[in-house]
Amino acid sequence: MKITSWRAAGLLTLLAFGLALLGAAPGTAADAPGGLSEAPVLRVETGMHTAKIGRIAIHPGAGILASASYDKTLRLWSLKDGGLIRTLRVPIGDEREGALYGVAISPDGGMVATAGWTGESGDPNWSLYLFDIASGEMIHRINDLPHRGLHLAFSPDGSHLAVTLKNGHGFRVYRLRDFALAAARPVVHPGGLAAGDENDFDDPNCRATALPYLDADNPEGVAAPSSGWLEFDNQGRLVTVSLDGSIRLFDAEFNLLRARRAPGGEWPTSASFSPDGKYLAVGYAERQRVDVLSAEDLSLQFCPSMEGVDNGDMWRTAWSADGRFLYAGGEFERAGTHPVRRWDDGGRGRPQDVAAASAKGVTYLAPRAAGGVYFAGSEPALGAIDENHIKLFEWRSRAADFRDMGSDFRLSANGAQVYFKFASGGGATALFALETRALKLDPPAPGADFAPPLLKTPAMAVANWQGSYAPTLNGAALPLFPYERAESYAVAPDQSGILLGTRWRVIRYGANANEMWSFQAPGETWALNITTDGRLAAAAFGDGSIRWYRMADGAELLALFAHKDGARWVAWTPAGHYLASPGGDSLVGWHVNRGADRAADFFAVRRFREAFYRPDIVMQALAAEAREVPGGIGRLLPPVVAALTLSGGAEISAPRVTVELSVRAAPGDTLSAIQVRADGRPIAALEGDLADLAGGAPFELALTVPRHDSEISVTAEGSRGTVSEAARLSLRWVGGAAESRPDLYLLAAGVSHYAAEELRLNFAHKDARDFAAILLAQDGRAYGTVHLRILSDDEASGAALRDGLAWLRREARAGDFAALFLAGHGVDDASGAYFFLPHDGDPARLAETALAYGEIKEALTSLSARSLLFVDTCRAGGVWGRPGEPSNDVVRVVNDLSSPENGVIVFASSTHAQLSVENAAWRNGAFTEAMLEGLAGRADLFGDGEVTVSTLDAYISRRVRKLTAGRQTPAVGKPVEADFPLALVGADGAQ
Amino acid sequence: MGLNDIAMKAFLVLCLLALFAAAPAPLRAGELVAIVEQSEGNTGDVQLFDMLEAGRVITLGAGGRLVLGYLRSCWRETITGGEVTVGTEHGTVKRGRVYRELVECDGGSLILADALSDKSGAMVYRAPPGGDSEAPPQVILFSLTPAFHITGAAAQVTVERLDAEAPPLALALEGGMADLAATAHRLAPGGRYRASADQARVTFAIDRLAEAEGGPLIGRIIFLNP
Repeated sequence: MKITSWRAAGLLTLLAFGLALLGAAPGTAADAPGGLSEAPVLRVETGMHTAKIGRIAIHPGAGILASASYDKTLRLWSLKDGGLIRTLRVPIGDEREGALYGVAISPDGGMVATAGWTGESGDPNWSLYLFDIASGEMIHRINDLPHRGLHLAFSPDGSHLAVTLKNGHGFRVYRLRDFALAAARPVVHPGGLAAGDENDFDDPNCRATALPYLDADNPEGVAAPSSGWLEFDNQGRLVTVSLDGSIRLFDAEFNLLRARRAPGGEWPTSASFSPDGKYLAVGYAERQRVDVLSAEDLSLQFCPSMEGVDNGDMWRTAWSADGRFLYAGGEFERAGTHPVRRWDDGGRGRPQDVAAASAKGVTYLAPRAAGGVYFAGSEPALGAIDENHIKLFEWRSRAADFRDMGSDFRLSANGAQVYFKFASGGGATALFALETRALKLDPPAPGADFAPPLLKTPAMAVANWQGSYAPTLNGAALPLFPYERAESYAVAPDQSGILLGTRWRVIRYGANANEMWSFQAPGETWALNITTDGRLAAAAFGDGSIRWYRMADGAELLALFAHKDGARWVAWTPAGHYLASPGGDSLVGWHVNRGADRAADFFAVRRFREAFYRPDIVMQALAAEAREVPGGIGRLLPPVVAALTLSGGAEISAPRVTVELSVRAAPGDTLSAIQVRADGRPIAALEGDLADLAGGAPFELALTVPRHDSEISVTAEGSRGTVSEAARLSLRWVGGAAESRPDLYLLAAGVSHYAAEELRLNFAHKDARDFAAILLAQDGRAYGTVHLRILSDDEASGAALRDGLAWLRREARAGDFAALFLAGHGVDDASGAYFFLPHDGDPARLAETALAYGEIKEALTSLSARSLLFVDTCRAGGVWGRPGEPSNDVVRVVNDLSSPENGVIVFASSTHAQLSVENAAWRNGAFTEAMLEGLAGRADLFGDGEVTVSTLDAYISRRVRKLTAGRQTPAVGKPVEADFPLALVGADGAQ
Repeated sequence: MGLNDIAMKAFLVLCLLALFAAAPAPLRAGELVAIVEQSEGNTGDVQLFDMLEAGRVITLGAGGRLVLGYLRSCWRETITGGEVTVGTEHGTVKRGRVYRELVECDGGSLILADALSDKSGAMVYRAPPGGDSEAPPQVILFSLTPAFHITGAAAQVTVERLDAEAPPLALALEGGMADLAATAHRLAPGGRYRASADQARVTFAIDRLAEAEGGPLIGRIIFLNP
């Protein structure tokens, strides 16, 4: 087969890849090639896909958009607000197993189907999964597909599900009543295939292709063509296209009506019925052409204008819901984006383009009920274009885009610091330093001590590599799998060979172009680098991760994921020990298969923070003497809140509501409690003998919820002390507004003048007083009454602090706010437990004299009032015997307290290894200075008179960095998405 | 200092005393903290509307089901089987099951009668300076149908509206309890009222957004001790 383009190769490569992986190359992962993982698998999770989205499905009635991705997830999105409703996880393996290509939603909106690389190559065991949308549970697995499923569609009456297949198997139809096979239609043409009237019209848009239908080297055409598209019309007719160029039309009983060769040549990739059923719009891979055929006899009717389309293709087509417009999109690129083209007059009119997918090509189009289309992209991206052909939104990947990073991917000599860019073409740069646990945005350009990839030496010359299937080393071909495409490389400093990064693997070659080891990459390998001592390799992948490997054998040592927001990140070892920023511990998690016939579970690493938050282990992961520390979450698996719905809908006008839910205990464990929170605060709990609820049977709970918009979250606790991920519901209050404002109870403690001279600070005592004063000004404004208890210097004894916490517990009620402000020294003991040092505290006797984190946590998490913690305790050392270094890991505190099960909003002055800065000019710490400014009005970012949790977070984040010249980065942990005002500043003046 | 000044000072002193009187004091062991809202089956020796002290242990027999309302914390617990130890804010259950939910109630402001107040730690607020109509209500209720818990020999409780013209309601007491939910009478959302039984009286208001009839007892109960 003559390869004319990467896309063409890509359409045919997956089979080759699968066959190649069956003969696992040396150095590949220990798991058997193919097959489901028995052990939990670490996966990046950003709340958005991390790999190409192949297909989307829309159900306007149910208000759902479903997206299937190569990242092995199927996601359900709300059409109303764009929120992620649920992530469905099929069983996966370490290799390609679980990558999803197709998705379809049943006409009643109750079921979603998906398929893809869901089986083992060579076995007739490919699977198709059906999920219940409401609960997320797997309804059924069809497991007799002869090959990978590509595209799915439900019949209009909901009685059947059709799936197209690779490798000449055409399509199959299953009866949903009993999931039995109703029809199988391989790609065969016993009567031949009519060529048709491809050049009947003297139409410049029906550009005759110079390529014959049949390749000279392969007179039979594509021997086993894949069928990538299938669509039903309203009468139940079905059209399908295949890569041998065939278009086939079937009746409602799946009998062939007509077949022909596509006018535009090989590789038709979509065929969409017009809403009236009269026409078919056909798109092609690698063709700047769209054909409109008669849906009766498949004759060519016309070709929409391709004016200005001079590259790529328009391989996906769709009609507007009313049929007035025809849409197409694909790999066509203009000015760095990938437009969606629209033709009016049913495709006959003038074209109009709108920039759609920003980074990579359009992979799918689906009509939008209100007009326009939804689109999916390879980046991955999801978006919509309205009826006026204006882009409404584009949700893009939240991972860094490492394409074309080249020499901007730099390593320190020991590899423990990496400099990189978040996006190609001028994106923000970042420096991650493992030793200081810091991610710094837009750092100064690194000096000579940071080495870019070595690309050429006298002994090593790599050629023909970028985007190529045939790279060479010193003129010798580097062996790759068929259709495997190279994207990056680095020369070993000792010139013993090179590392080559492809779209599928990282491969080490010796000087003779001999493969030494390889492993499957978690995404496209966009950049590579090797430390100057040749010991470590680092790679930047398409899933947004940067990973370190041992050059000797390719063993993975460490991984880093930095969110595109530049604030959150997580680093982890293969065993699962991790180190994270505030909020970063939700960015990676464990995928846990539950067998071939059940949806898999997913647990963010924060679920295991007690055992796996191990900065000490992670920080040693790259050391030459490092030994892998075994992990294993088997006995730590938490329960699962499987479903949570509200009877009567999310709009409420009365505080008494009933929720329906189901809960599963972890294998071998029992349920000990179910906790319900509103805006992070406990409102209900079920405890005791819960055996009858632990198996997933649905049950109801009656709740009293707040009389305002709120977020309800439910967690389940296992008897081993485990806690589930939270299931959440957003409620919208449409009842009467409360007359009274909540009260605020604030305990503000600040200690500057410690008994020990070496512990003394400058402004911590004043920080507490000033913070209290700024909130007291909100008495009668944001709050009904502000109740203060201020403990300053010698007032802030351990006993007084404990009495203050008791006061909060006693006084603050449901609906109120309770806040704790701590400024002074925080200290971690040898075990890493945090203590706040009161005025009379002794760092040598923390347990006896200091306020333990456990006491703070117990007080704040037991309150019915909304709880906030403001902590500024990363003061200069002295307490730890290491002057100039912080004495506590406040990130641990932030991530724990702000977890859904604890529900405390935390504002922390700095993160990890940073010190809190004080300044005589402000006479406060930088954190408090920024808080005072923000609460006084500068954090009223929208000019609506409100300083909310989110706007204050945004303000102090930038302000503190500016005040401290980047030395200090505050962190905020928020257990719920809901935002609310902390201060009101109005037309009558700020405070 | 003129008479007006003296009167003003006295007024202020009385206000301060009243405020002090109204401030909830810390609970002590053995204090009454909860009321039995419902009782079904074998619930040991507790009965409906019993007041329970912190530390009390109740063993439920077969089929036993108990609903307790905690007056200060507003937690309402439905306990099925097992053994419950009454806490200061909520209970602890062994071997059974408890469903605990936070309900709307004016926790900490529920006034207990003199005879009980020694155990409750709360203090009775008798005659507010300036009269019932002017002073803030002593307790907010979240239902249109309050219930009244009376200790002593009073035979009825009278409910008068303070902020609007309305005929007073006279409710007969049975076993020291009267529940408006068992009658056809409904109070008005936002309305201010006074309940009196013999010499004791309490002013209360119905939350403006209250809609429910009946509902958790701790959200709608008034205590009086003539």
